[in-house]
Amino acid sequence: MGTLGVGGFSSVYQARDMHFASVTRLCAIKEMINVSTDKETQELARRSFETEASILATLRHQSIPDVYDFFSEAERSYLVMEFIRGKDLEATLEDRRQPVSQEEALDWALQICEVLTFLHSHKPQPIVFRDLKPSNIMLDQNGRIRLIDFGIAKLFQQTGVKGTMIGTEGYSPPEQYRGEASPAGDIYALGATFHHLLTLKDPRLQPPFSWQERPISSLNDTVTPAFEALIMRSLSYKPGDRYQNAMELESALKLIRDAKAGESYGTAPTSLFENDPATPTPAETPASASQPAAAAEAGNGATVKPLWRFQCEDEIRSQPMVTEGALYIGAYDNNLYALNTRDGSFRWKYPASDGIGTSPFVYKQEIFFGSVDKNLYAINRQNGRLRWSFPTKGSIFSSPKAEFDHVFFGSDDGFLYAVNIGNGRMLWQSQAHSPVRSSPLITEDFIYFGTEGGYVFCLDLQGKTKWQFQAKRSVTSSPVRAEDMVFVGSMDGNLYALDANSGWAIWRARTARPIISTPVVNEDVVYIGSSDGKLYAFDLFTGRQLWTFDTEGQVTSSPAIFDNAIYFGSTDGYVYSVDLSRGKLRWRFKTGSYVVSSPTIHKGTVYIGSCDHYIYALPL
Amino acid sequence: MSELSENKDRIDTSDPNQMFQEELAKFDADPDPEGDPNQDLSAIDTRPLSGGGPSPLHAADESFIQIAQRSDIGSIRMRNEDHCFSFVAGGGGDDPPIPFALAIVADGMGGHHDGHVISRRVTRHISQTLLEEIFLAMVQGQAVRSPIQEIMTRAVRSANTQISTDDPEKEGGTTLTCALIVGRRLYLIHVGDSRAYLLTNQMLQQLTTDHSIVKRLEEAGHITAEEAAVHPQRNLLYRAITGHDLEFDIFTCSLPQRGKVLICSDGLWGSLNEPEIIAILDRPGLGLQAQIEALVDTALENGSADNVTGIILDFRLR
Repeated sequence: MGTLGVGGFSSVYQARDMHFASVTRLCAIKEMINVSTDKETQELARRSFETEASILATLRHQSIPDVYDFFSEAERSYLVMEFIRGKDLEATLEDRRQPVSQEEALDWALQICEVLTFLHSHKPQPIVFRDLKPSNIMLDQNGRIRLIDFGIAKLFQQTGVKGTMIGTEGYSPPEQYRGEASPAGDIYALGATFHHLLTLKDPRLQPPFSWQERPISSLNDTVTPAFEALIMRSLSYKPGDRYQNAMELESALKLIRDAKAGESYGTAPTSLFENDPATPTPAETPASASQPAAAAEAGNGATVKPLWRFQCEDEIRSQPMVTEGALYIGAYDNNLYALNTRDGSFRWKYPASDGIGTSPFVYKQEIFFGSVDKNLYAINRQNGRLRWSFPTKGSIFSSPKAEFDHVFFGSDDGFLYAVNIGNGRMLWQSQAHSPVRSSPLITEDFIYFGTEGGYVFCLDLQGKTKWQFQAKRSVTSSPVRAEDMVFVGSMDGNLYALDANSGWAIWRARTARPIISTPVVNEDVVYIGSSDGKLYAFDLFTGRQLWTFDTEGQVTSSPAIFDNAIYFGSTDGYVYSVDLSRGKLRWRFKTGSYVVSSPTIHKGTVYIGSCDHYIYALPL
Repeated sequence: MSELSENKDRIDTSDPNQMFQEELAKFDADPDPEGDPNQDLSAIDTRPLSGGGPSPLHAADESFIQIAQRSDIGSIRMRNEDHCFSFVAGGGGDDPPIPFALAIVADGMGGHHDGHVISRRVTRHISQTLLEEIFLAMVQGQAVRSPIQEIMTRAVRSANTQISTDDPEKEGGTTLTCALIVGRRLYLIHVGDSRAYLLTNQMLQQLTTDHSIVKRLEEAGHITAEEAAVHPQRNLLYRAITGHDLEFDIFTCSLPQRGKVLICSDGLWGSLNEPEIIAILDRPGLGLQAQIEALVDTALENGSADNVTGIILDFRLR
């Protein structure tokens, strides 16, 4: 009547039992192909099939379909069974596209244990199901679990010959490869099945026995440590380390089911702010340090309070520079501020003629910054006095970088400049054909930067173009180099990995909206924010997405890393601290407005500005 | 008006942010543009453009890549199920602006099925795709429209689709190790238990991980390397190109100035230890073709029961 499923060497058909001509009795017929070419092996497999089928035909359990008949013809053997209406768990998972909750998983696991207990206590020999996996577990019309496909088909598989491709089925225990089948093997397969259901990570697509590399709780917040431990014990490599039979596992499952609901783990923190941070206390002086009222909510429910904050007279959009006990930050109130990192007290300020959107850069005795007023300034960092300024024909949003006794920066006039730090004279300018708001990356041999025209340029130190790469939209993000690759975001929504020597694109990773954020690389991972509201972690060598962290605003802030945490701001007003390996919230701190400023981490403190006019010092 | 909303107003009117907001609106109107209509260039161009002065990339006269390959049926098998392909940009005027080489080893599986056909089809499809989409574009001065790893990934996925079959009796598969050199960078796509090695300064580094059950057991610390070497199921793979679900490794690294890349089937590496491989690849006075002949011959002399295939890429890059 139709095909219910096709496997490598078996198929299941829907059929009508013509013994009952006057009524419609449906049945499922499993057809298995004896693939062996050796006559003796073929005969052995056929006899094993008939022995096992005879046993199955005697079983009576509400969760096991009845076996009506079995027979063999030539190279094929057939098992005629009760037809079950419903949907298997693999199809259920595909429909839902989200992990199963612990509550549902527990209910199903207990029902499966009940069947396995029935099978494992069969006399004289325990019956091993041998092929437990989501596609063999059916949810019938009443929501009850039914096990539909014993591993009888495995009798017809060849093993030990390269090319059979059965290799692993993902859910099978390691001892299967030694030809062993025991109740402990079913326990393993049950653990593997629920690992898949709870994490959505299909074990058939993962390296075998790699469960430890995908901790359940990191992928599913509803799972308690006790349930995770139960599954991991079921997945022990050695059969002796697992639950020994279904009865033992069932008892452990019931303990978890009956545990108090209060044990739930990993849910979002419930603590709220101590104060309403949306209205920061007005300071008496226009620019002053104060003990802040705002507090952070932490992943563990505790609060994080700023060490100090300092109020400027307008928005802070850039990244502070911290060195030798001093913090330097530019604000849209036109001033570059120098503060003491210890308490945020004021040292000096230098006024430009317009807002400062660039991050200051300290090199030797000077500090450099660009302004909307089109000038690059070199300021003595001890006393805040002007050493020289360099005029361009456009506003400067490209943060300067200094190296080799020259300062490099871009301008909205479409040039990248190299200026001598000693006398403020231009060494060269390189035509970029569109505004340069990206901050240049200076390496031993080359300079990398992006343009609003959508190009990434690589120049040699004389300002000559070595290569250029075109993205689909502006490149405001600043390049970062690691492993001979250059990473940069674009307004086209992609993070690009380019070969540092040739400019060839190696990979691109898509986000849902434009990228302004500058990436940061740590070990083999590259992190970047997107205006789609997420912070992303991508594999450095392939661009494979490892995790994302959601905020309620746009992440245009460039992240910074310290120890096992990554720090960044969002236009939802928060400064975030997120666990580096798993992408889970450590704490977040609410400021009074958008946080497009990028954090600087120095000696156990995170320094970051906000559009609420404050610069904050937060403990790590 | 609260301070938050004041700031919001200000964000909308300040110059850089105004531009960003406009970019956001443009992005939302057309998230994946074919190209900026205001730009002269109509396509995405991942091709490095010539710059304002002499570029090290054009100093290709100092760079070279040579290739030698051999595939042998061996003394036991009735059919050679290995297939290999290699290509290197020659020294003519049509050369691409940067060094280019491609090498592929595929070890077909399927016993009485069509392992030899599958390894050949996969090799042909991938080599043809990569040469057309990367090499030809380079020499014709056209834009390469996607990042290289995307092109390689697409090539492998479409090869996998091509060999897909609904007939269970025709099922088989192949390993694949594909090495592409563009400029100073090596790109690898790998699935199965063929291998890629990098030899530099007498050090041999295995760049690929075998997708075999036994290797996995060894990595997980469940069996020793000695036990793995004689394990009866050491040829059982958990990943291969079979026409079904496909998972593969993709890898890239910057190459040293000088060295050799060896890619080979398990018939070669399974019968030679690393010191033997190093000794042959570093033997003074032995030409490149003689090196690959020596590697294959030694594997056969050591009793390899499988087909034996290897490709050496000898490179000097600036």
